[in-house]
Amino acid sequence: MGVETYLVVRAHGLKTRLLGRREYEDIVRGKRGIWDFRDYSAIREDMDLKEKINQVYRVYTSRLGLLARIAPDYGEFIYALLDRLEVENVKIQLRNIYGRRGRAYFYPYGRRLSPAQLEGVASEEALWELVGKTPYMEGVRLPAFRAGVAERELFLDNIYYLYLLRSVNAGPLRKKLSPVTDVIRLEYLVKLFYWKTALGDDFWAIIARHPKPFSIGERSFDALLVKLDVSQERVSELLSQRKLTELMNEMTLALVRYASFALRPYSVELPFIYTFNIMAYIEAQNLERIILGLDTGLPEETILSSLVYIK
Amino acid sequence: MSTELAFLPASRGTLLLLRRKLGLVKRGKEVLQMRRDQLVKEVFAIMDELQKLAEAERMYLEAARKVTQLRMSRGEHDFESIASLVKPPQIEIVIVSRQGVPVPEARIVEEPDYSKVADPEYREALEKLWEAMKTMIAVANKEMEVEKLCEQLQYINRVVNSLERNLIPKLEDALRHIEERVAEEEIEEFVRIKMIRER
Repeated sequence: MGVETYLVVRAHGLKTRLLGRREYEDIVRGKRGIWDFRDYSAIREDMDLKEKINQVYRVYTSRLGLLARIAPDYGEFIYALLDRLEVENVKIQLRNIYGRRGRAYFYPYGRRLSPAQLEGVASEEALWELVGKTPYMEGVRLPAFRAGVAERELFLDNIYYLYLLRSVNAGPLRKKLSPVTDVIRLEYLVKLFYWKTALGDDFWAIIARHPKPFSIGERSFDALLVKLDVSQERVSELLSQRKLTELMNEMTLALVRYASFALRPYSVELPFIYTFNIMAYIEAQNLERIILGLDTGLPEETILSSLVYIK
Repeated sequence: MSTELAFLPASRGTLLLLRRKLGLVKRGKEVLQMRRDQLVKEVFAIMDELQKLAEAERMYLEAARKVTQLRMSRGEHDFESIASLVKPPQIEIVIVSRQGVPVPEARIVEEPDYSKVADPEYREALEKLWEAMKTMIAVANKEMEVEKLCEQLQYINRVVNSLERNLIPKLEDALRHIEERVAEEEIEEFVRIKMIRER
Protein backbone atom coordinates (compact mmCIF):
# COMPACT_ATOMS: atom_id res chain seq x y z
CA MET A 1 0.00 0.00 0.00
CA GLY A 2 1.45 3.32 -1.06
CA VAL A 3 1.59 6.44 1.09
CA GLU A 4 -1.18 8.02 -0.98
CA THR A 5 -3.54 5.10 -0.38
CA TYR A 6 -2.64 5.02 3.31
CA LEU A 7 -3.31 8.75 3.51
CA VAL A 8 -6.68 8.42 1.84
CA VAL A 9 -7.62 5.44 4.02
CA ARG A 10 -6.79 7.50 7.11
CA ALA A 11 -8.90 10.33 5.71
CA HIS A 12 -11.78 7.89 5.19
CA GLY A 13 -11.28 6.76 8.79
CA LEU A 14 -11.48 10.38 9.95
CA LYS A 15 -14.54 10.90 7.79
CA THR A 16 -16.40 8.19 9.71
CA ARG A 17 -15.88 10.29 12.83
CA LEU A 18 -17.53 13.36 11.32
CA LEU A 19 -20.83 14.20 12.92
CA GLY A 20 -24.10 13.81 11.11
CA ARG A 21 -27.57 15.30 11.39
CA ARG A 22 -28.54 13.00 14.28
CA GLU A 23 -25.51 13.94 16.36
CA TYR A 24 -26.10 17.64 15.72
CA GLU A 25 -29.74 17.25 16.76
CA ASP A 26 -28.71 15.42 19.94
CA ILE A 27 -26.32 18.22 20.90
CA VAL A 28 -28.83 20.96 20.14
CA ARG A 29 -31.62 19.15 22.05
CA GLY A 30 -29.29 18.61 25.03
CA LYS A 31 -29.32 14.82 24.81
CA ARG A 32 -25.55 14.82 24.43
CA GLY A 33 -22.80 17.35 24.95
CA ILE A 34 -20.12 18.13 22.36
CA TRP A 35 -17.62 16.72 24.86
CA ASP A 36 -19.36 13.33 24.61
CA PHE A 37 -17.77 12.86 21.19
CA ARG A 38 -14.25 11.52 21.47
CA ASP A 39 -12.61 14.08 19.19
CA TYR A 40 -14.14 16.93 21.15
CA SER A 41 -13.57 15.55 24.64
CA ALA A 42 -11.16 18.42 25.40
CA ILE A 43 -14.12 20.79 25.45
CA ARG A 44 -15.57 21.32 28.89
CA GLU A 45 -19.02 22.64 29.69
CA ASP A 46 -17.64 25.40 31.91
CA MET A 47 -15.26 26.67 29.21
CA ASP A 48 -15.46 30.19 27.88
CA LEU A 49 -17.48 30.44 24.65
CA LYS A 50 -14.51 31.55 22.55
CA GLU A 51 -12.31 28.82 23.98
CA LYS A 52 -14.95 26.21 23.13
CA ILE A 53 -15.07 27.47 19.54
CA ASN A 54 -11.29 27.50 19.29
CA GLN A 55 -11.19 23.91 20.56
CA VAL A 56 -13.54 22.94 17.72
CA TYR A 57 -11.17 24.52 15.19
CA ARG A 58 -8.21 22.85 16.90
CA VAL A 59 -9.87 19.50 16.16
CA TYR A 60 -10.24 20.55 12.52
CA THR A 61 -6.60 21.66 12.21
CA SER A 62 -5.35 18.57 14.07
CA ARG A 63 -7.24 16.29 11.66
CA LEU A 64 -5.71 17.95 8.61
CA GLY A 65 -2.36 18.28 10.39
CA LEU A 66 -2.37 14.54 11.06
CA LEU A 67 -2.93 13.82 7.37
CA ALA A 68 -0.16 16.25 6.39
CA ARG A 69 2.28 14.56 8.75
CA ILE A 70 1.36 11.08 7.48
CA ALA A 71 2.30 11.97 3.93
CA PRO A 72 4.92 14.74 3.86
CA ASP A 73 5.02 14.55 0.05
CA TYR A 74 1.48 15.84 -0.04
CA GLY A 75 1.88 17.94 3.08
CA GLU A 76 2.10 21.27 1.26
CA PHE A 77 -1.20 20.64 -0.50
CA ILE A 78 -2.93 19.60 2.73
CA TYR A 79 -1.49 22.55 4.64
CA ALA A 80 -2.55 24.84 1.80
CA LEU A 81 -6.14 23.74 2.45
CA LEU A 82 -5.68 24.53 6.12
CA ASP A 83 -4.00 27.86 5.40
CA ARG A 84 -7.44 29.24 4.61
CA LEU A 85 -7.68 29.89 8.38
CA GLU A 86 -4.41 31.84 8.28
CA VAL A 87 -5.79 34.07 5.54
CA GLU A 88 -8.97 34.50 7.56
CA ASN A 89 -6.78 35.59 10.47
CA VAL A 90 -5.13 38.20 8.24
CA LYS A 91 -8.61 39.48 7.36
CA ILE A 92 -9.50 39.63 11.05
CA GLN A 93 -6.41 41.72 11.83
CA LEU A 94 -7.08 43.93 8.81
CA ARG A 95 -10.59 44.64 10.10
CA ASN A 96 -9.12 45.26 13.51
CA ILE A 97 -6.70 47.84 12.10
CA TYR A 98 -9.52 49.56 10.21
CA GLY A 99 -11.94 49.25 13.08
CA ARG A 100 -11.92 49.39 16.83
CA ARG A 101 -8.32 48.21 17.30
CA GLY A 102 -9.19 46.06 20.25
CA ARG A 103 -8.00 42.57 21.02
CA ALA A 104 -8.85 40.50 17.95
CA TYR A 105 -10.20 36.97 18.13
CA PHE A 106 -8.21 34.70 15.80
CA TYR A 107 -8.56 31.14 14.61
CA PRO A 108 -6.13 28.95 16.56
CA TYR A 109 -3.91 28.33 13.58
CA GLY A 110 -0.83 29.88 12.11
CA ARG A 111 1.85 28.17 10.09
CA ARG A 112 3.54 31.24 8.71
CA LEU A 113 1.60 34.00 10.40
CA SER A 114 0.77 33.10 13.94
CA PRO A 115 -2.08 34.87 15.76
CA ALA A 116 0.52 36.38 18.13
CA GLN A 117 2.48 37.79 15.17
CA LEU A 118 -0.64 39.24 13.60
CA GLU A 119 -1.76 40.72 16.89
CA GLY A 120 1.47 42.71 17.06
CA VAL A 121 0.84 44.36 13.69
CA ALA A 122 -0.39 47.91 14.19
CA SER A 123 -0.65 49.30 10.67
CA GLU A 124 -1.87 48.15 7.28
CA GLU A 125 1.58 48.71 5.74
CA ALA A 126 3.17 46.45 8.35
CA LEU A 127 0.48 43.83 7.74
CA TRP A 128 1.11 43.76 3.97
CA GLU A 129 4.84 43.64 4.62
CA LEU A 130 4.31 40.58 6.80
CA VAL A 131 1.98 38.92 4.28
CA GLY A 132 4.47 39.83 1.54
CA LYS A 133 7.04 37.53 3.13
CA THR A 134 4.73 34.51 2.82
CA PRO A 135 4.07 32.35 -0.26
CA TYR A 136 0.60 33.89 -0.54
CA MET A 137 2.13 36.92 -2.23
CA GLU A 138 4.50 34.95 -4.43
CA GLY A 139 4.56 36.60 -7.83
CA VAL A 140 1.80 38.98 -6.79
CA ARG A 141 2.00 42.75 -6.53
CA LEU A 142 -0.16 44.69 -4.16
CA PRO A 143 -2.76 46.54 -6.26
CA ALA A 144 -3.65 50.17 -5.64
CA PHE A 145 -6.65 49.77 -3.39
CA ARG A 146 -9.41 52.27 -4.03
CA ALA A 147 -12.34 50.80 -2.14
CA GLY A 148 -12.41 50.02 1.58
CA VAL A 149 -11.66 46.96 3.66
CA ALA A 150 -13.86 44.79 1.47
CA GLU A 151 -11.54 45.24 -1.52
CA ARG A 152 -8.57 44.20 0.60
CA GLU A 153 -10.45 41.14 1.82
CA LEU A 154 -11.33 40.21 -1.76
CA PHE A 155 -7.65 40.59 -2.63
CA LEU A 156 -6.73 38.21 0.21
CA ASP A 157 -9.24 35.65 -1.09
CA ASN A 158 -7.74 36.00 -4.55
CA ILE A 159 -4.18 35.48 -3.39
CA TYR A 160 -5.26 32.52 -1.25
CA TYR A 161 -6.82 30.74 -4.22
CA LEU A 162 -3.78 31.57 -6.35
CA TYR A 163 -1.62 30.00 -3.65
CA LEU A 164 -3.93 26.96 -3.36
CA LEU A 165 -3.85 26.52 -7.11
CA ARG A 166 -0.05 26.71 -7.11
CA SER A 167 0.11 24.00 -4.45
CA VAL A 168 -2.29 21.82 -6.48
CA ASN A 169 -0.23 22.31 -9.62
CA ALA A 170 3.12 21.82 -7.89
CA GLY A 171 5.25 19.23 -9.68
CA PRO A 172 4.08 15.64 -9.37
CA LEU A 173 0.81 16.62 -7.71
CA ARG A 174 -0.46 18.34 -10.81
CA LYS A 175 -1.58 15.15 -12.50
CA LYS A 176 -3.01 13.58 -9.35
CA LEU A 177 -4.94 16.67 -8.38
CA SER A 178 -6.11 17.80 -11.80
CA PRO A 179 -9.77 16.79 -11.03
CA VAL A 180 -9.66 19.06 -7.96
CA THR A 181 -8.83 22.15 -10.00
CA ASP A 182 -12.33 22.34 -11.42
CA VAL A 183 -13.88 22.09 -7.95
CA ILE A 184 -11.49 24.72 -6.59
CA ARG A 185 -12.61 26.96 -9.44
CA LEU A 186 -16.22 26.50 -8.37
CA GLU A 187 -15.30 27.10 -4.72
CA TYR A 188 -13.56 30.29 -5.79
CA LEU A 189 -16.59 31.36 -7.80
CA VAL A 190 -18.86 30.75 -4.80
CA LYS A 191 -16.58 33.06 -2.83
CA LEU A 192 -16.65 35.62 -5.63
CA PHE A 193 -20.42 35.34 -5.78
CA TYR A 194 -20.49 36.57 -2.20
CA TRP A 195 -18.20 39.49 -3.07
CA LYS A 196 -20.20 40.30 -6.18
CA THR A 197 -23.30 40.63 -4.00
CA ALA A 198 -21.49 42.56 -1.26
CA LEU A 199 -19.65 44.99 -3.54
CA GLY A 200 -22.50 45.47 -6.01
CA ASP A 201 -21.70 47.63 -9.03
CA ASP A 202 -18.07 48.16 -7.98
CA PHE A 203 -17.28 44.45 -8.16
CA TRP A 204 -16.20 44.22 -11.78
CA ALA A 205 -14.04 47.33 -11.60
CA ILE A 206 -12.33 46.03 -8.46
CA ILE A 207 -11.81 42.47 -9.63
CA ALA A 208 -10.29 43.75 -12.87
CA ARG A 209 -7.43 45.31 -10.90
CA HIS A 210 -6.75 42.16 -8.86
CA PRO A 211 -4.63 39.11 -9.63
CA LYS A 212 -6.96 36.15 -10.11
CA PRO A 213 -6.44 32.39 -10.08
CA PHE A 214 -9.00 31.93 -12.87
CA SER A 215 -10.35 34.23 -15.51
CA ILE A 216 -13.92 35.17 -14.81
CA GLY A 217 -16.76 36.92 -16.53
CA GLU A 218 -20.47 37.55 -15.99
CA ARG A 219 -21.22 34.18 -17.57
CA SER A 220 -18.99 32.39 -15.04
CA PHE A 221 -21.65 32.90 -12.38
CA ASP A 222 -24.45 31.63 -14.62
CA ALA A 223 -22.36 28.56 -15.33
CA LEU A 224 -21.67 28.19 -11.60
CA LEU A 225 -25.38 28.10 -10.78
CA VAL A 226 -25.98 25.55 -13.53
CA LYS A 227 -23.12 23.34 -12.30
CA LEU A 228 -24.22 23.54 -8.68
CA ASP A 229 -27.84 23.01 -9.68
CA VAL A 230 -29.00 26.14 -7.90
CA SER A 231 -31.83 27.87 -9.73
CA GLN A 232 -31.59 31.53 -10.66
CA GLU A 233 -35.09 32.03 -9.21
CA ARG A 234 -33.97 30.71 -5.83
CA VAL A 235 -30.93 33.02 -5.88
CA SER A 236 -33.09 36.03 -6.80
CA GLU A 237 -35.62 35.12 -4.11
CA LEU A 238 -32.99 34.88 -1.36
CA LEU A 239 -31.19 38.01 -2.53
CA SER A 240 -34.43 40.00 -2.62
CA GLN A 241 -35.00 38.94 0.99
CA ARG A 242 -31.38 39.85 1.77
CA LYS A 243 -30.77 36.31 3.02
CA LEU A 244 -27.16 36.19 1.90
CA THR A 245 -26.08 33.74 4.62
CA GLU A 246 -28.81 31.30 3.65
CA LEU A 247 -27.84 31.61 0.01
CA MET A 248 -24.16 31.01 0.78
CA ASN A 249 -25.10 27.99 2.90
CA GLU A 250 -27.16 26.57 0.05
CA MET A 251 -24.32 27.17 -2.40
CA THR A 252 -21.80 25.58 -0.03
CA LEU A 253 -24.01 22.53 0.33
CA ALA A 254 -24.41 22.37 -3.44
CA LEU A 255 -20.63 22.65 -3.78
CA VAL A 256 -20.09 19.75 -1.37
CA ARG A 257 -22.58 17.69 -3.34
CA TYR A 258 -20.87 18.60 -6.59
CA ALA A 259 -17.41 17.90 -5.17
CA SER A 260 -18.54 14.53 -3.78
CA PHE A 261 -20.05 13.64 -7.14
CA ALA A 262 -17.23 14.94 -9.32
CA LEU A 263 -14.51 13.44 -7.16
CA ARG A 264 -16.29 10.13 -6.53
CA PRO A 265 -14.12 8.25 -9.10
CA TYR A 266 -11.12 9.39 -7.06
CA SER A 267 -12.46 8.35 -3.66
CA VAL A 268 -9.32 6.31 -2.93
CA GLU A 269 -6.97 8.86 -4.42
CA LEU A 270 -5.52 12.18 -3.36
CA PRO A 271 -8.52 14.31 -4.49
CA PHE A 272 -10.51 12.76 -1.64
CA ILE A 273 -8.42 14.83 0.80
CA TYR A 274 -9.93 17.93 -0.74
CA THR A 275 -13.48 16.57 -0.24
CA PHE A 276 -12.63 15.55 3.30
CA ASN A 277 -11.28 19.02 4.04
CA ILE A 278 -14.53 20.66 2.98
CA MET A 279 -16.52 18.22 5.12
CA ALA A 280 -14.29 18.68 8.18
CA TYR A 281 -14.39 22.47 7.79
CA ILE A 282 -18.18 22.42 7.52
CA GLU A 283 -18.35 20.31 10.68
CA ALA A 284 -16.26 22.90 12.54
CA GLN A 285 -18.54 25.67 11.28
CA ASN A 286 -21.66 23.70 12.25
CA LEU A 287 -20.35 23.08 15.76
CA GLU A 288 -19.43 26.75 16.09
CA ARG A 289 -23.02 27.63 15.13
CA ILE A 290 -24.39 25.15 17.67
CA ILE A 291 -22.17 26.50 20.46
CA LEU A 292 -23.15 30.07 19.63
CA GLY A 293 -26.82 29.23 19.16
CA LEU A 294 -27.04 27.43 22.49
CA ASP A 295 -25.07 30.15 24.25
CA THR A 296 -27.30 32.92 22.93
CA GLY A 297 -30.47 30.95 23.69
CA LEU A 298 -31.74 30.69 20.12
CA PRO A 299 -34.57 28.21 19.51
CA GLU A 300 -33.51 24.66 18.59
CA GLU A 301 -35.17 24.84 15.20
CA THR A 302 -33.36 28.07 14.33
CA ILE A 303 -30.01 26.51 15.20
CA LEU A 304 -30.71 23.32 13.29
CA SER A 305 -31.92 25.20 10.22
CA SER A 306 -28.65 27.15 10.07
CA LEU A 307 -26.51 24.03 9.79
CA VAL A 308 -25.12 22.53 6.61
CA TYR A 309 -25.81 18.79 6.58
CA ILE A 310 -23.38 16.72 4.62
CA LYS A 311 -24.03 13.27 6.12
CA MET B 1 -51.51 75.42 67.59
CA SER B 2 -47.75 75.49 67.06
CA THR B 3 -45.57 76.86 69.85
CA GLU B 4 -44.46 79.79 67.73
CA LEU B 5 -48.05 80.85 67.08
CA ALA B 6 -49.19 80.21 70.68
CA PHE B 7 -46.92 82.89 72.09
CA LEU B 8 -47.76 85.61 69.65
CA PRO B 9 -48.86 88.80 71.37
CA ALA B 10 -52.60 89.34 70.95
CA SER B 11 -52.57 92.69 69.23
CA ARG B 12 -54.00 94.27 66.12
CA GLY B 13 -50.49 94.27 64.62
CA THR B 14 -50.24 90.49 65.09
CA LEU B 15 -53.70 90.11 63.63
CA LEU B 16 -52.71 92.03 60.52
CA LEU B 17 -49.47 90.04 60.26
CA LEU B 18 -51.29 86.73 60.55
CA ARG B 19 -53.94 87.73 58.01
CA ARG B 20 -51.19 88.72 55.58
CA LYS B 21 -49.38 85.43 56.23
CA LEU B 22 -52.53 83.35 55.77
CA GLY B 23 -53.35 85.16 52.55
CA LEU B 24 -49.82 84.48 51.28
CA VAL B 25 -49.97 80.81 52.21
CA LYS B 26 -53.34 80.37 50.51
CA ARG B 27 -52.08 82.10 47.36
CA GLY B 28 -48.97 79.88 47.46
CA LYS B 29 -51.17 76.82 47.78
CA GLU B 30 -53.25 77.89 44.77
CA VAL B 31 -50.10 78.47 42.71
CA LEU B 32 -48.79 75.03 43.67
CA GLN B 33 -52.15 73.45 42.81
CA MET B 34 -52.04 75.13 39.41
CA ARG B 35 -48.48 73.84 38.88
CA ARG B 36 -49.60 70.40 39.96
CA ASP B 37 -52.41 70.43 37.41
CA GLN B 38 -49.99 71.60 34.74
CA LEU B 39 -47.54 68.78 35.57
CA VAL B 40 -50.33 66.19 35.61
CA LYS B 41 -51.43 67.37 32.17
CA GLU B 42 -47.83 67.10 30.94
CA VAL B 43 -47.41 63.61 32.43
CA PHE B 44 -50.61 62.45 30.74
CA ALA B 45 -49.40 63.85 27.44
CA ILE B 46 -46.14 61.91 27.78
CA MET B 47 -47.97 58.77 28.87
CA ASP B 48 -49.56 58.68 25.43
CA GLU B 49 -46.09 58.62 23.90
CA LEU B 50 -45.08 55.83 26.29
CA GLN B 51 -47.66 53.62 24.60
CA LYS B 52 -44.96 53.19 21.96
CA LEU B 53 -42.83 51.28 24.47
CA ALA B 54 -44.31 47.88 23.61
CA GLU B 55 -43.74 48.48 19.90
CA ALA B 56 -40.20 49.75 20.58
CA GLU B 57 -39.41 46.68 22.66
CA ARG B 58 -40.81 44.40 19.97
CA MET B 59 -38.70 46.15 17.32
CA TYR B 60 -35.61 45.91 19.51
CA LEU B 61 -36.10 42.22 20.31
CA GLU B 62 -36.64 41.43 16.64
CA ALA B 63 -33.52 43.34 15.59
CA ALA B 64 -31.46 41.78 18.37
CA ARG B 65 -32.69 38.31 17.39
CA LYS B 66 -31.70 38.96 13.78
CA VAL B 67 -28.22 40.04 14.85
CA THR B 68 -27.91 36.99 17.13
CA GLN B 69 -28.92 34.72 14.26
CA LEU B 70 -26.37 36.38 12.02
CA ARG B 71 -23.71 35.97 14.71
CA MET B 72 -24.54 32.29 14.91
CA SER B 73 -24.62 31.62 11.18
CA ARG B 74 -21.48 33.62 10.34
CA GLY B 75 -19.47 32.46 13.33
CA GLU B 76 -17.87 34.34 16.19
CA HIS B 77 -14.58 35.15 14.41
CA ASP B 78 -16.34 36.74 11.46
CA PHE B 79 -19.02 38.47 13.52
CA GLU B 80 -16.66 39.98 16.04
CA SER B 81 -14.23 41.31 13.47
CA ILE B 82 -16.99 42.69 11.23
CA ALA B 83 -18.63 44.32 14.25
CA SER B 84 -15.31 45.97 15.10
CA LEU B 85 -15.54 47.84 11.76
CA VAL B 86 -18.58 49.72 12.98
CA LYS B 87 -17.80 53.04 14.59
CA PRO B 88 -20.03 53.07 17.64
CA PRO B 89 -22.53 55.89 18.22
CA GLN B 90 -21.71 58.73 20.56
CA ILE B 91 -24.36 59.29 23.19
CA GLU B 92 -24.15 61.90 25.90
CA ILE B 93 -26.31 62.60 28.89
CA VAL B 94 -27.43 66.20 29.26
CA ILE B 95 -29.70 67.82 31.81
CA VAL B 96 -32.66 69.57 30.18
CA SER B 97 -35.51 71.51 31.74
CA ARG B 98 -39.01 70.09 31.29
CA GLN B 99 -41.68 72.35 32.83
CA GLY B 100 -38.93 73.75 35.00
CA VAL B 101 -37.92 70.29 36.22
CA PRO B 102 -34.33 69.20 35.52
CA VAL B 103 -34.43 65.91 33.58
CA PRO B 104 -31.41 63.87 32.42
CA GLU B 105 -31.70 63.12 28.70
CA ALA B 106 -29.66 60.76 26.49
CA ARG B 107 -28.74 62.66 23.35
CA ILE B 108 -27.27 61.07 20.21
CA VAL B 109 -24.25 63.16 19.30
CA GLU B 110 -23.04 60.93 16.50
CA GLU B 111 -24.74 58.11 14.63
CA PRO B 112 -22.86 54.81 14.19
CA ASP B 113 -20.84 54.52 11.00
CA TYR B 114 -21.27 51.28 9.02
CA SER B 115 -19.54 52.51 5.89
CA LYS B 116 -16.71 49.99 6.28
CA VAL B 117 -19.12 47.04 6.41
CA ALA B 118 -19.70 45.86 2.86
CA ASP B 119 -21.81 42.81 3.64
CA PRO B 120 -25.45 43.81 2.92
CA GLU B 121 -26.90 41.36 5.44
CA TYR B 122 -24.69 42.68 8.25
CA ARG B 123 -25.51 46.27 7.31
CA GLU B 124 -29.22 45.66 7.25
CA ALA B 125 -29.18 43.84 10.60
CA LEU B 126 -27.02 46.52 12.23
CA GLU B 127 -29.09 49.37 10.78
CA LYS B 128 -32.30 47.79 12.07
CA LEU B 129 -30.73 47.28 15.48
CA TRP B 130 -29.67 50.92 15.62
CA GLU B 131 -33.13 52.12 14.52
CA ALA B 132 -34.67 50.03 17.28
CA MET B 133 -32.07 51.31 19.73
CA LYS B 134 -32.88 54.92 18.79
CA THR B 135 -36.58 54.32 19.46
CA MET B 136 -35.66 52.70 22.78
CA ILE B 137 -33.51 55.72 23.69
CA ALA B 138 -36.39 58.08 22.83
CA VAL B 139 -38.79 56.03 24.94
CA ALA B 140 -36.26 55.82 27.80
CA ASN B 141 -35.96 59.63 27.70
CA LYS B 142 -39.73 59.94 27.98
CA GLU B 143 -39.77 57.44 30.83
CA MET B 144 -37.13 59.45 32.64
CA GLU B 145 -39.14 62.61 32.02
CA VAL B 146 -42.24 61.01 33.52
CA GLU B 147 -40.22 59.78 36.50
CA LYS B 148 -38.76 63.20 37.24
CA LEU B 149 -42.10 64.98 36.70
CA CYS B 150 -43.77 62.48 39.02
CA GLU B 151 -41.07 63.07 41.64
CA GLN B 152 -41.81 66.79 41.34
CA LEU B 153 -45.54 66.06 41.56
CA GLN B 154 -45.01 64.06 44.72
CA TYR B 155 -43.04 66.93 46.22
CA ILE B 156 -45.72 69.49 45.30
CA ASN B 157 -48.42 67.22 46.70
CA ARG B 158 -46.53 66.93 49.97
CA VAL B 159 -46.20 70.72 50.19
CA VAL B 160 -49.86 71.34 49.24
CA ASN B 161 -51.03 68.73 51.76
CA SER B 162 -48.82 70.21 54.42
CA LEU B 163 -50.20 73.69 53.71
CA GLU B 164 -53.78 72.45 53.49
CA ARG B 165 -53.83 70.18 56.52
CA ASN B 166 -51.24 71.71 58.76
CA LEU B 167 -50.13 75.28 58.25
CA ILE B 168 -53.40 76.84 57.03
CA PRO B 169 -55.55 75.32 59.85
CA LYS B 170 -52.92 76.38 62.41
CA LEU B 171 -52.77 79.89 61.03
CA GLU B 172 -56.58 80.04 60.96
CA ASP B 173 -56.68 78.78 64.58
CA ALA B 174 -54.10 81.31 65.66
CA LEU B 175 -55.94 84.04 63.79
CA ARG B 176 -59.26 83.09 65.38
CA HIS B 177 -57.63 82.93 68.82
CA ILE B 178 -56.01 86.30 68.45
CA GLU B 179 -59.22 87.79 66.98
CA GLU B 180 -61.11 86.58 70.04
CA ARG B 181 -58.40 87.93 72.37
CA VAL B 182 -58.34 91.27 70.60
CA ALA B 183 -62.17 91.41 70.68
CA GLU B 184 -62.14 90.57 74.41
CA GLU B 185 -59.50 93.20 75.05
CA GLU B 186 -61.57 95.73 73.09
CA ILE B 187 -64.65 94.95 75.14
CA GLU B 188 -62.62 95.15 78.34
CA GLU B 189 -61.20 98.46 77.21
CA PHE B 190 -64.65 99.71 76.25
CA VAL B 191 -66.09 98.66 79.63
CA ARG B 192 -63.15 100.22 81.49
CA ILE B 193 -63.53 103.52 79.64
CA LYS B 194 -67.30 103.49 80.23
CA MET B 195 -66.81 102.87 83.97
CA ILE B 196 -64.24 105.69 84.22
CA ARG B 197 -66.66 108.07 82.47
CA GLU B 198 -69.53 107.08 84.76
CA ARG B 199 -67.39 107.83 87.84
